[in-house]
Amino acid sequence: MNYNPSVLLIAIPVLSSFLSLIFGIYNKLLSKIILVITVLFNLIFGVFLYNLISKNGNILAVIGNYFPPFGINLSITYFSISLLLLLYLIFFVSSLIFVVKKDERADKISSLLLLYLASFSGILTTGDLFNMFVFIEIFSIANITLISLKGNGLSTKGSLKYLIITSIGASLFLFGTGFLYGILGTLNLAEISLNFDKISYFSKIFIFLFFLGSIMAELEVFPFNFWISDSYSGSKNFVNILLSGLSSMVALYIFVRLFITIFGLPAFTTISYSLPFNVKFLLPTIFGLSVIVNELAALSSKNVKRILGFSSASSLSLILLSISTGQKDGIISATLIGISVILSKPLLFLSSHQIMKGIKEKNIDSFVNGFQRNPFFSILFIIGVFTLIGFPLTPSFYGKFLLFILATEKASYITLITIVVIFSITIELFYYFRLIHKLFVPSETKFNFEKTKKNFVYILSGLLLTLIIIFFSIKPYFTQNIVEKITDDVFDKSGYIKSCLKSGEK
Amino acid sequence: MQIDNRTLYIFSFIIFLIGVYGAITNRNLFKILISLSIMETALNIFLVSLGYISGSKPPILSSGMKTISPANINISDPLPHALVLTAIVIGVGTTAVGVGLAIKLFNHYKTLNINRMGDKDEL
Repeated sequence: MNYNPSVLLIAIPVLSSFLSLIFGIYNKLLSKIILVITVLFNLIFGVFLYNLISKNGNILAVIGNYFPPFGINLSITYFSISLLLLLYLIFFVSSLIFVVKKDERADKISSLLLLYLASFSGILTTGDLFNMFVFIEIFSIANITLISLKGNGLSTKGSLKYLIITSIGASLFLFGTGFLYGILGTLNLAEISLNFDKISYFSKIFIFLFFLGSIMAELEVFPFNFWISDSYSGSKNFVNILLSGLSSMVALYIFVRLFITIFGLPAFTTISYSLPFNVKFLLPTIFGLSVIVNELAALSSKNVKRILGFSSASSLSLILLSISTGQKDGIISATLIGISVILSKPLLFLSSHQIMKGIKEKNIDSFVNGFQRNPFFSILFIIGVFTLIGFPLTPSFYGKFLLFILATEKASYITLITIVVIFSITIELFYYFRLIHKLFVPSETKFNFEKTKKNFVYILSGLLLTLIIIFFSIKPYFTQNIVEKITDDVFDKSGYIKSCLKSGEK
Repeated sequence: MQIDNRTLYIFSFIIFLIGVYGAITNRNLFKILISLSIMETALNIFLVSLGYISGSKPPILSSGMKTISPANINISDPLPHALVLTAIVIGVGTTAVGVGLAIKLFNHYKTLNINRMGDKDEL
């Protein structure tokens, strides 16, 4: 159905971004109020769109009365709106944490956060390839600036590394876009999807390499994950929450939307028989290796933020491994693990920040005696760990279990990779249980820590995330329903094309 | 002399590879940023060459071209030009942010060599 007001998901944050700067001149508090109101608007409007899509199917927003394939249009599907709602929730938590902190640059940071909100809303809703590139660039610049907010050497170095790798990625994306435009003469995703099979296999290989290379950095895949160590440990807590729970998921959306819905994964898995490598084997190998490397990097780190950062990258690689199996069960498994990661990572960053509050060195020893210092956030941390590693009943448990069954059903190369990867996840168990163990160890040396103050926003955010995790865990049929709808939408190439190209329908 | 579109594609791809090589092998931050700019330039050449049709006219409606007919349809595609303009603006923005960060790093570490940026504030 046509519903043009869905453009407000992007337009309102962009407008608020400017307003936040203007009103910030008079009062910094006004910028913070604008930020919170805009996020709440997007969240409420997102719920409204979710209901609309559930009842009437995909939404198409036509801009300037140019019906697709001409002009720029927005195409919102069940997959994009469900992911958007989860991401808005994480963004809301992150904004609340930012709002309660005193910062002289509050107006500028609010404006930046609103730009960030507009850009990821745009990436998830756009139906145009070049438009997606523009939003990716805005998203990257907002990310870079947010990472460097702390102003020390580490955060600046981290953000510059991120800038270099994302600039190369963006160039590759634009090369791929130009290549597709040169061949098909369109930038509309539905039109590209419709005509993709007409492209010669040689060109498909180029397109595959360009687009895969472009999002590898954001996907935190080895060897493009070198920016993680500085970026996570050097940035502020609310930025950590955005990086782990949001940025990576946006990149994952681009991967799924482009490679499965638009291009169609079989388009790549069947073209490669005449190549020295087969994409069917190449992708699981890259992602499997990435899980192992990220797990080992997390194990060898002493800095808690770095451990959580590499663990986040490892979880993302596991999701990608599930997707690269190219089967429906793989996508279901990826969605279940994805829900756990989106909800548990912010919870882990938030609670670990509170546990280590007042201690100068943020290494694993700062967790010593944490339970006695801060029992509430220690419990939240443990809940976060259990959700992530796949404790029975949590979505992650079903996801990993399904992946294991899928891999062992028929002996193949993917079986081998998946089993190696699943065993490497035991490393995750080791370093998380090491942290949990530290929480209960009485301190031998006395730390100079300030007594942890009760912070209402942290408590509220932690509780909100925990309640949502518990809800997803105790309502398996509700979770199953959502996951199945998402999976159907991801594979529904013809449905996507039909909903975009039925020009003229009101 | 007329240059074939394919030659332009290959030319831009070679420049792009030079940029990638520079970004990977250089240790100096400014040289890395210059390499990124070279990559962006290569991209812009590629996109502009996409819209060019050999022997075509510029896509401007002149007084003699009131309607589009087969006689005057041989114009170059204006869309890639619009894309290039956007890409240039984005490229300038990214480079400006990069230079700002490089200056900040220089003030902090007193060097632009990425290998010599010690871990004095790392944990």
